[in-house]
Amino acid sequence: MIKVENLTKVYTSGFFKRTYHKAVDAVSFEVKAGRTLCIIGESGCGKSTVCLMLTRLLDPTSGRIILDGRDVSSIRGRELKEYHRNVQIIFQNPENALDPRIRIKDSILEAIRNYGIVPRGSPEEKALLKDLMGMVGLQHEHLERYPWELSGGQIQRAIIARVIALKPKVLVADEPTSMLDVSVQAQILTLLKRLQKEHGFAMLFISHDLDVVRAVGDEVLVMNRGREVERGGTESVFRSPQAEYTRNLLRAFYYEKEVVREESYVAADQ
Amino acid sequence: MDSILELKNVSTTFNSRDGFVKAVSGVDLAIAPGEIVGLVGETGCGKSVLGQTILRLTPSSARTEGSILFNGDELTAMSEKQLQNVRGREIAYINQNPSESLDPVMKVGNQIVESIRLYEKISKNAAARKAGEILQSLSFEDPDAIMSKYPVELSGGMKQRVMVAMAMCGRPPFMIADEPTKGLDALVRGQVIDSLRRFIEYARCAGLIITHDLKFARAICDRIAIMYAGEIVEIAPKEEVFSKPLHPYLEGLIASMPQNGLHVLEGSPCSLIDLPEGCRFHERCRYCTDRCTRSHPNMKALAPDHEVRCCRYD
Repeated sequence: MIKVENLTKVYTSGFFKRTYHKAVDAVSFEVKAGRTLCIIGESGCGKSTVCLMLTRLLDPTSGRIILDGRDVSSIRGRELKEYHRNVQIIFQNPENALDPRIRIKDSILEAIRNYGIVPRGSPEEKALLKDLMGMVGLQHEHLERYPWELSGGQIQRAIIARVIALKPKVLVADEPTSMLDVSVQAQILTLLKRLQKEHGFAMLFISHDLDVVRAVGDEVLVMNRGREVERGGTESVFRSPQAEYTRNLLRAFYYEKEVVREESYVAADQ
Repeated sequence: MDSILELKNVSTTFNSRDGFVKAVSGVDLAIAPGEIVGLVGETGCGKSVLGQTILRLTPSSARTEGSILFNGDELTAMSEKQLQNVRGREIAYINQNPSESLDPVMKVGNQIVESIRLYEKISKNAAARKAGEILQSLSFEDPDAIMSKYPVELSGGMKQRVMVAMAMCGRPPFMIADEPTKGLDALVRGQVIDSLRRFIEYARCAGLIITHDLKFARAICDRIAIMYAGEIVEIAPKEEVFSKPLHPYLEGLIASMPQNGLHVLEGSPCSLIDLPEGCRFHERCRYCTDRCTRSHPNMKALAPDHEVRCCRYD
């Protein structure tokens, strides 16, 4: 379904004295339809940069992104708009993801109308909204509310409704539940898994909660300093991690003695 | 007297535009010297308000009832001036937002020195040496480098550990930590926990740790109290909380943890303005009976140290 090859992002800064910072260094992976790949790693390991490049919100420095056999790493204009429909993203902080001045209904309709999914103002549009609300477990009355009138979990559901309306082929979820309570987290994750089963989209899931990763991921990609450290089936990575770094990560997460050194978040500079 | 902090029937209400918010209602809690109690609950259950109530840090619109005894002294009867001597010196308070708690235009070292000199009459140089020792004891790798930095130059986890160091200065016998791991990377959390553990060891203090993370509470606390809609619904030694949860809410909470299979606990917490009649959890409870909708259950001790608030155990 979606495949990346040697994806690299180098940030440059400074005017007279250029400094380079390799945020993502030759990362490759593939996610098939209906499957979930999780990326784990510390803050600053480049996992969010991968998300942004995959959704083409950020241009890769080098490397290729291939959707359904087609290289999309440098498409522009109308093609890119179509790509954005196919590859959708859910961000970490639901409170900041919707425009606070417009109603939930209009936020969802904005996406639907942007892609002309159903005729504007038609009965189909109303029916679609109703279906979407049912799908994500919100009440019809929520449509008339503003984002700040809803809880974090409810906004996240509204965002999922908006994403699902476009029938994406790939869904990128950048820590979608890290700001939510455990019981709400369970609700959102089960919702995502159910929708994935119904719609068959591929999912790239970013999290630093390894328990969540273990529960939702088919495959895991471990990243450190922008590089791939280890990749494999979720259970095999958790049961028998091959890389030393992965072992440290697991130990740190389960509050065992050895702790990952915090300095390592300062990624490799060139 | 065998408890350092004792709350008796503590309630806190706010007057808001939409009506009375009963953020905390009828909390009884006794903490023994050296004991760490975790207060676990979800967003909006009133756990942070309870922490603030103890040190009277609530906004001025809040009204508190009940008694808060600290070492036998009634905190609710103290004047603001007397209470100021308790804050920090006797009861340390670690806030959930380290970025907003540190002064952004002052070097971290000077901030620690300042708080040391608040409690001890020593010279700046001696205080700076002591600050270095405290940071060292929290296993910071290079205390001097940290002390010469501004808060913006530190990561969130570092800042939280600096906050812990500042709280340690006065060697307080009691500590309240409000969501010390909130918003931190799951991996950095381990370091903050390690710092808190060292703090507890160093000050030999008791504490109340407020968190929404059951796993974190398990790592650091002796007992865990579960809060729902403003009241404590279950309190037990930490292992029992996981091995034999009694309250249906706790049962649901544990089942919804990812490592336990993400079983969904339907619904959302009731509003604190318009509390339901009977048990506050009955709308979401799968064991709900007719009685639960009518009578509000009281705390009931099923074992000497395991209490629960549920009709099923009457």
